[in-house]
Amino acid sequence: MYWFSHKNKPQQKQSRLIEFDTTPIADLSFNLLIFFIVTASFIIRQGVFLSLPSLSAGTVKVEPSQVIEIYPQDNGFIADGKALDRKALLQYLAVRKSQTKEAVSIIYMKPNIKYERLVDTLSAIRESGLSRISLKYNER
Amino acid sequence: MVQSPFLKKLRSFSLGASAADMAMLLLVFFMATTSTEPPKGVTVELPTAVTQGAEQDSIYISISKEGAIYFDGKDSSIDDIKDQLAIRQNEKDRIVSITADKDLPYSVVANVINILRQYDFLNVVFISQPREEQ
Repeated sequence: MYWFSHKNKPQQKQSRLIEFDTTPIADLSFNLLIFFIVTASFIIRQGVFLSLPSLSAGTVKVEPSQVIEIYPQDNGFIADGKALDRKALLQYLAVRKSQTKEAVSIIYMKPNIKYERLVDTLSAIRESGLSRISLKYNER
Repeated sequence: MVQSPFLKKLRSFSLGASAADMAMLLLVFFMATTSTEPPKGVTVELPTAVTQGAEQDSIYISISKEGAIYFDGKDSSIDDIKDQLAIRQNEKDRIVSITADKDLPYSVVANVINILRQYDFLNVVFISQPREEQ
């Protein structure tokens, strides 16, 4: 039976194992890998995030008791009518946060104040766990 | 030397294919995860703050101590920035990284912030160096 079914078929050639030399690919890949490791920069840029209000955004009503006004100065801050250093500002913000639900911090910037004072104020507000921030710019 | 029946059964094999696979995988991993150096434009002294990691895929605005503005690494005037932002209206959700010198008067930064608001680029990160915990 077997002979009958296979008698007209050509004899199959023994399959040859074709090998592909992968050594050059490995070499190339490792070379590229080393190049990328050496040249890549692992510096993670860091910063302070701020969401700006849209010009078309409506106004938000807040109670006066919710508002924390901060006036950054070149050598500290003015808040609640008092000159404060960073540590005192953090304490003041912590107290206000515990007293007021959903407090809104308003930063009043003047043109001649250094930019680092804005970043420091934003940082201090974030450190005290307050999230609602408004940035006011007084050009005069 | 007479080989044992067990050793006779063992065949020599090449590590080439697996090494290539491994190298390719590592290569793809590094290419996918490493960040490219953002366009610098100008070297500035950064302010310090308690920071969060900023996204790498940002629009970069650098402002030097003298007030020169660089948009994605290119020296740009205010009008150039307006043009660029107008062209990139489909990228409004991208974060704008502002890298400004710490001693820069705020008026310059305020000007840039105003332009960003005009063109609806509302997600801003002020690039700073991490503050050391005291």
